[in-house]
Amino acid sequence: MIGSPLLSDAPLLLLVTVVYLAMILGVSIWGYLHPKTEEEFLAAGRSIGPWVGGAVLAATQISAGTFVGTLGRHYLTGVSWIWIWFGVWAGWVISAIFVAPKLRRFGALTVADYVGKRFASEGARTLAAALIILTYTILLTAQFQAIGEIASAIFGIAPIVAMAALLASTGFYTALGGVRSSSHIDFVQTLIMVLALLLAVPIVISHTGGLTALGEYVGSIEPRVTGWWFTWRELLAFGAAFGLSIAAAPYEMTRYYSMRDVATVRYAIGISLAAQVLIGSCVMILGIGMRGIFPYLPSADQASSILASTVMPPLLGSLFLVAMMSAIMSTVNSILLVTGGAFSHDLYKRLVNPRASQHRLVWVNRLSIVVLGLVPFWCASLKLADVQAIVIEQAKFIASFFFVPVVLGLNWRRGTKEGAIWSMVAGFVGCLVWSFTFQRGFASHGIDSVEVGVVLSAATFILVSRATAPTPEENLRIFFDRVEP
Amino acid sequence: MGFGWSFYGFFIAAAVWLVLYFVWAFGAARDR
Repeated sequence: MIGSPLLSDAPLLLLVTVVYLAMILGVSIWGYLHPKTEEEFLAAGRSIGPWVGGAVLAATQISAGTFVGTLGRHYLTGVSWIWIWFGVWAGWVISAIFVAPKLRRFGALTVADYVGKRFASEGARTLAAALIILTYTILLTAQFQAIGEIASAIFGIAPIVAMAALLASTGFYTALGGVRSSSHIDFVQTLIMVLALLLAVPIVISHTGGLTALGEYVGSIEPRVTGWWFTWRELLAFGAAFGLSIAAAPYEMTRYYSMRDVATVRYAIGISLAAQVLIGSCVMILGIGMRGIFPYLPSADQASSILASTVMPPLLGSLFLVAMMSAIMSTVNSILLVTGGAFSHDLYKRLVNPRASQHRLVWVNRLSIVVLGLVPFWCASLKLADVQAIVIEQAKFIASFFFVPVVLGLNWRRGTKEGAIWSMVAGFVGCLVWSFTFQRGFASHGIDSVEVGVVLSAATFILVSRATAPTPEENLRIFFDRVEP
Repeated sequence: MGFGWSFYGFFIAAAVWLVLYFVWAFGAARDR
């Protein structure tokens, strides 16, 4: 890219990147010295505190979608998209009240562990693990696609090279150190993201002559950019889709297990909310600021790459680029921890080798992290949809098959294994069928596939559970009779 | 036309949301 301050100072960019990767390597080697058991590898020995825990939850949620897709969405449509965050945060509050305390008290290792124990069913556990691996492989594809697009936009290198670098670095530190080192790396990555965004805001605003001038200028190009591009109904529907998926997101729920106790989980969710407020606000201002500086970019998704490479001075541009890498790496890391854990703990240990030693389980987990990281390479090369669309679609599927078994399952004693299995099937199939048949874009009729999926899943759960034998008392006691650890 | 309620209102609403959340979280910990 000609005239890019970032690329004109390549040694500086290289230095910042090397320092960042060296930090990751150091922490992951430290983590490698810890894990000897599955509990250490998948739950960090239940040692994570509220600050690191909060950063973990935020880093997991903030992904390529936020830095590329959301920033681009603000570039194109302006302010009003910011209000969908309240849907996301409503999901977090549902999780904090109805999901996290019970899951943490249960203290298992994977999300499918919960399904297996709550419904006393290995079938339900296997189905949950398989669906999680399937949908998260799709989400991983979006992250790979994003790194490929960023690398080719800024450096002009082939996407496949950037994808390989992402898997080599993130796959390596995830497989090496497990949840303990991943959590501390997430903490640093969240700090980098918040810092880079906070530093970028005044630079962009000064380029546009101040906040008031920016508002007046972009408002004169298109008044809806500073007002309401989306209607309240649209914002509510998008927000509900994100909220439903966050309330039962396996990559967030798994991390509750690694925190010290229930109070730590609640504080961690609060700290993650505060980080999200900061990150969401900065991303909005940067998106609109880029519209003020470059009103007619060919693609809104280019706004963040051009911001890092052209608008920012070299040092801050390098930091912003590392923040974008951090957003992608932390999400890929969390996905790999969930899919690797689901494969080794829920499928291999239960179905293939029930007598596997702890040492063997940890190594199967490491191997499955690498293998499951390779699958999205092929998917990403197909480029089935753009990054933000894939992120939104997989969120709808997760909500459709998992919200009801998790949120209702944890709060309604009468839910049974048959109810759980059929509600997962109905939610998944309902979302799939509606997406490919009746849904022709959200605005055309107002009923989104996630609403269809969740309603079908809930109705099936209640009706089938009522018609089948209750779950054994000994299993229910773990979740419904409050026993403090 | 510059920024209006959709912009400034968000910051107010987000601040209120955070305060309410932490009031609840501290209260829940005290009730233990």
